[in-house]
Amino acid sequence: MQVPVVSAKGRFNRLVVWTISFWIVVAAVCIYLQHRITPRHTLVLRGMEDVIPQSVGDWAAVAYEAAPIINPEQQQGLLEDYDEILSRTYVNRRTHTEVMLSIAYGSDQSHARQIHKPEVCYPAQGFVIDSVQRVQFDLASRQIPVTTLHATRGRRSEYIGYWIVEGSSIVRGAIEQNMKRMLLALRGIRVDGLLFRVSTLSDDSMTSTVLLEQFSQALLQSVSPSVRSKLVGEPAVASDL
Amino acid sequence: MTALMSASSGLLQLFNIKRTFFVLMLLLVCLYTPVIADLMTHEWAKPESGHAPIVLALSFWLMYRNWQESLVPTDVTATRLAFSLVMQFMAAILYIVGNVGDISQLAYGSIIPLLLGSIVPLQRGVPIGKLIFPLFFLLFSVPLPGFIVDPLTQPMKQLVAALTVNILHAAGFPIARSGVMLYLGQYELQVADACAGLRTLFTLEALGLLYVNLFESSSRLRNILIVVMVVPISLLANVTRVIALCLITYYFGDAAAQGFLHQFAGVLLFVCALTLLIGADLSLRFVAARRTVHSK
Repeated sequence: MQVPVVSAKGRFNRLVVWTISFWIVVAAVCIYLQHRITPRHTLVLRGMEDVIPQSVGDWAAVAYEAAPIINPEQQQGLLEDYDEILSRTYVNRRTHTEVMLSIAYGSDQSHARQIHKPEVCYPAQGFVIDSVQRVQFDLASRQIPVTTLHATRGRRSEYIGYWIVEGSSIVRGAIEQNMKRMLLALRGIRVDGLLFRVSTLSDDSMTSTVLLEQFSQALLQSVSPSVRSKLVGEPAVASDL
Repeated sequence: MTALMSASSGLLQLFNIKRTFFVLMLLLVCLYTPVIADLMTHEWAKPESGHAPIVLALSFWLMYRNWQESLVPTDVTATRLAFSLVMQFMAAILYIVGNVGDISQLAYGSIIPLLLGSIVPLQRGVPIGKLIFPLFFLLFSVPLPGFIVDPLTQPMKQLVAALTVNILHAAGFPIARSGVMLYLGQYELQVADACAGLRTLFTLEALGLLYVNLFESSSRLRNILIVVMVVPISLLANVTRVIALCLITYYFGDAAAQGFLHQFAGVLLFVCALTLLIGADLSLRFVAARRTVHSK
């Protein structure tokens, strides 16, 4: 009786054997690098409601919401990605202009849980974004890279300014965010992140941008240096990456 | 006992048919199971990416179909070896960076150079298209990065919303639009990303390519025309879907449109797109046939 015997030697191509050994090594390297990653939390603001003052300069927080503040979290029913969110409306005592503030903290900045940019969460809630600009705000005695947006939904016209702090410095744009996360991960570090967003209901781009800058200045001046460095990060240094 | 013997020999023979192929598949299963498991909970879990696992399966089926074990060389030439090394090295970098840096596009995308480097050098004398097409097709299962999708999604949504409003308005429905918000009677509807996105176009483009590949034709012009026509077809299918959802909301209420009928509208999109695709193909064939008659 004959049972077909398969000789393992001749049949398998050398290339196949090499390929498999090579990939076993690659997989091992990968597993090692992944297990080495440890979270580093530098931005935790425990009890944001108390840390961020109710009154900043000429601005005072109000209990009512002039307009519902857009939730930075909501992205068509995806995961809850933030550990803490602060949403407040501030009104200027003299000019009565209103600014909406939203600060979101996420302890885990892996890709799946990283901070959603307002470019994503506004359209997800029915807004149309018709302008995205990269500007600089004069804050904390340095230039802060800020992204400004104009979003409309029905008759609601909203000007938004925001930045994202990751680890210890500000990152702007998805590519920068991904690059930083990836380079840190290869070094075995996973950082936390914070979204600082201010917005105002208005039809005028110029005055809104100035207003958002002034409010941010007032807010950063009224918090302690340690909180300030968490809200705007440290000036980026090359060695940070 | 004899029965068992013959059964096991039958099994061995089955594996002998495409043995090298199965070894490679086993390697892929080991390497990509965690990557795919991760995709399943995030990128592929989105309704507009539902096609991706199907594309993956179809690619492997096409590769399996075109693989010829008898054409696996016992020796590999220097050029093939060099090609394989370069591809595998690239794949390894993508795989490590993607997995460690948590970028699923890279981690999963590395499957393409890996396959290029391990499958192509192992097939001699097979028409290169037979091997390249499944790999090219596999590209459609890689999640598109946000920086490509986001800027294009908004204008596409606006266009779909505008076309829907024009059609329904002409048909006498009380409909108005502000950006991507539709106001129909007492209802307010929002054209979501999934309804009009680039990802739907991407899915349908994959469908078009598969159609062209499965129903092969000698005419290259026909193949190109069909792949190009997928763009307007995708738009039309999306408009049809949104109109269907509007009508469901108008006649049966909000709850109906959000429940089962929403799924139904998704199926309608694909049925509509496939019908249009086949229709386009048939009319192209008809025109081609008439032209040959005329030139005679």
